[in-house]
Amino acid sequence: MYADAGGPAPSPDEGQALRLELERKRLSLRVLLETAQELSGILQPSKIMETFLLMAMGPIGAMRGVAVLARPTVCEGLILSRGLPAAEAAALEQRLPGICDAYFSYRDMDGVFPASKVRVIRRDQAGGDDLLPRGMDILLCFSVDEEHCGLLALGPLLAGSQAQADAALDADVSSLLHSLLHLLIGALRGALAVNSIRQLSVDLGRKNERLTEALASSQTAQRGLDRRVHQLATVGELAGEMAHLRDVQGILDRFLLTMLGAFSVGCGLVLVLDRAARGVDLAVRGAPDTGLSGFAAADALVYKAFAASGARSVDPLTVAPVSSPAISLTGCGLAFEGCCAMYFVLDREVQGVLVLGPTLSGEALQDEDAQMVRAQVGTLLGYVQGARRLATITALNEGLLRQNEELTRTITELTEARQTIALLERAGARVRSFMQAEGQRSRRFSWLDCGVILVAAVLLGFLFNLASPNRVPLAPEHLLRSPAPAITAQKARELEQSEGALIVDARPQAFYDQQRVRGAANLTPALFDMIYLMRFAKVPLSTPIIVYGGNISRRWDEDVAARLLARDHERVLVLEDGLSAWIARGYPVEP
Amino acid sequence: MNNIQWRDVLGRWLALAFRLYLGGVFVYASVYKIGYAAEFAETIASYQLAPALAVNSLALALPWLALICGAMLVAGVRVRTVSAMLAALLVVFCLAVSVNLLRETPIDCGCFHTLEERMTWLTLLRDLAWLAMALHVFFFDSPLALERRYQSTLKEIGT
Repeated sequence: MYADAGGPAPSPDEGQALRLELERKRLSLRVLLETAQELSGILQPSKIMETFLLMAMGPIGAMRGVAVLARPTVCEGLILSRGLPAAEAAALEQRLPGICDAYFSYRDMDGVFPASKVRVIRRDQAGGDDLLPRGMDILLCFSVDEEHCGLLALGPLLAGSQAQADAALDADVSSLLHSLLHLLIGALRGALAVNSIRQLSVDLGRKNERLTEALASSQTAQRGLDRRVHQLATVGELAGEMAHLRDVQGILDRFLLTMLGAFSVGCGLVLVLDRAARGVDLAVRGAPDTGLSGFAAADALVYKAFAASGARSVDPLTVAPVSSPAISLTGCGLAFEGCCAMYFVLDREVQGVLVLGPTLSGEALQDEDAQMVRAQVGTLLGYVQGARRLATITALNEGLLRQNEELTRTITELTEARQTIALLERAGARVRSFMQAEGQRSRRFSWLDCGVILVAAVLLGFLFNLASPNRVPLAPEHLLRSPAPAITAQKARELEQSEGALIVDARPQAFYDQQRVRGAANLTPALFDMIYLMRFAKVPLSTPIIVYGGNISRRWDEDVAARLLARDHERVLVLEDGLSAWIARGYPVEP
Repeated sequence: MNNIQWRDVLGRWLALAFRLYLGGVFVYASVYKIGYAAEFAETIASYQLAPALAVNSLALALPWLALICGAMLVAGVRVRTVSAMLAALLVVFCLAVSVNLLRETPIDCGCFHTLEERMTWLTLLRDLAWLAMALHVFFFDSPLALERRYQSTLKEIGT
């Protein structure tokens, strides 16, 4: 098939030679085919090298063979041998760095080793005889890719083949070796590529895992950042809200509610204890108040928190975390298990504690969260202290206002008192002058007083007389009636002697007893009725009766004459000038 | 006791005794007359000195005048004026008694009750004694006077 179809027919020797030639070529092709078949499907470079070494030694006729696949840049690789004693094979594996330096140094000189370049090196041309076993007649160096290089050493050749030693590397063998090497290089490249791809896949998988982990960690970090942002936003809102609160209780309530929301905690409490005032400000959320609003229980809780916090002093405005609050605060009346607690100090007398229960998710608060809680408690201290100072200032202002009002009221009262005193002084002066005048008047005679007393006596007398059952008429009764007929003493004497007229003495009995007209009867107005019945009832009504007994003060004669006339006596006469006229005439009297 | 003490006893303290006695007598004498004005009017009329038109008025006013003056004398109010008025009354009484004694009028004096002993010269002496007491009270300041209490109070309060 190599003959020229148009040329002359070959001779028998030539034909034999041609047949041998063809047979060699067919053998070479078979070797190549079998080698290709053997190498196909093998992905491990060592396996490829091992298979190739077996496949190459046979056609070449080599008794021993050494195959090296190395990375000269790092002096790594593998060495396979066939036909060598075990000790020599083991020693050979230790010489890889030397082999790399001896046979692959050209790479450094050439810079870049060309791919698939095969260089045949004669044994005597190689510088590393002591590196390879003796008898290695054929040395072939090749490059697999930019990193991997290979070395194939074969020999000694079999006897039949030894004869051809010089011509061993003729064109056919060389062509066969080159073809085999190209198969090897192709197989190695494929295996290395597959291994590279596999390694890349593994690397990609690892990187993917790393990326997944990084993504997960970034998501965790994102969640943490989100939570932190939420906490900061909440705390910012808390700061804005607490800035408007004025009382400690309101600040504590708002602070605790915000802390529970910001850190997703189900229950908690914050407590401020004032030992000086023995007062407690307590805010509890998510749990009942178990008596911590009392001073003794709150004091015990704060003391335990102080002891567990590790604080050694009560410096103002300090915050210290309480270690293991679930254990250290046991028995203090907490209605829940404390997972995070902070002990804080406002001043020597005012201290407090913040206790947060478990989170809603059940996870423990992280250190960053605890630090955030601590920072917020520090913020709380500022607001509480501000509220307390505001309360103190407000109380002082109220006290000042009250004192001001009292002072104003006192000034008003003093002004009024001064006016009252002035008024009383004027009144006192007037009273004093009046009393002095009265005193002076009491020491001297006063016509005015006389007049007043007289008028008072007259008024009282007349008023009493009006109301009295024994009242007396102001004017004499005889002035209100017509007088009785009068008779002179002479005519009265004649009437007594001629007609036997009765003479009646109307004066009181003492006057009658002292002196009277002889034969006169005593008939006074006071005893008129009784005496009249006794002595005058049987006197005829026609008998003349002469009555006397009047004076400047009383007209008894007129009164008696009027009463006799009222008794229907027809002739009742009053003696003019009375007893004195009778005596002046010399008429008889008695005694 | 020296002269000053004697003068004090015979002046001020005797005036106090006269004041209380004379005031008590007039208050006592007036009470009955106020209740029985008609009888007192008869007594006045028996003196035969007052006009008939004035008898009843005198019987109504004189007992109250005696009561007021007696009470003021006991209390120590307007002592000098009251003692002068009582002295004047007593002068009138003495004159009335004297006139009726000279007339030999058989009447009672009517100083306390209507029915009592007959008016005699002792009655006039008694009235004269009362008149002397009134004059003594008029001329001598007596202690325990209600009006003096005001002045003592003024001295006590520093005015």
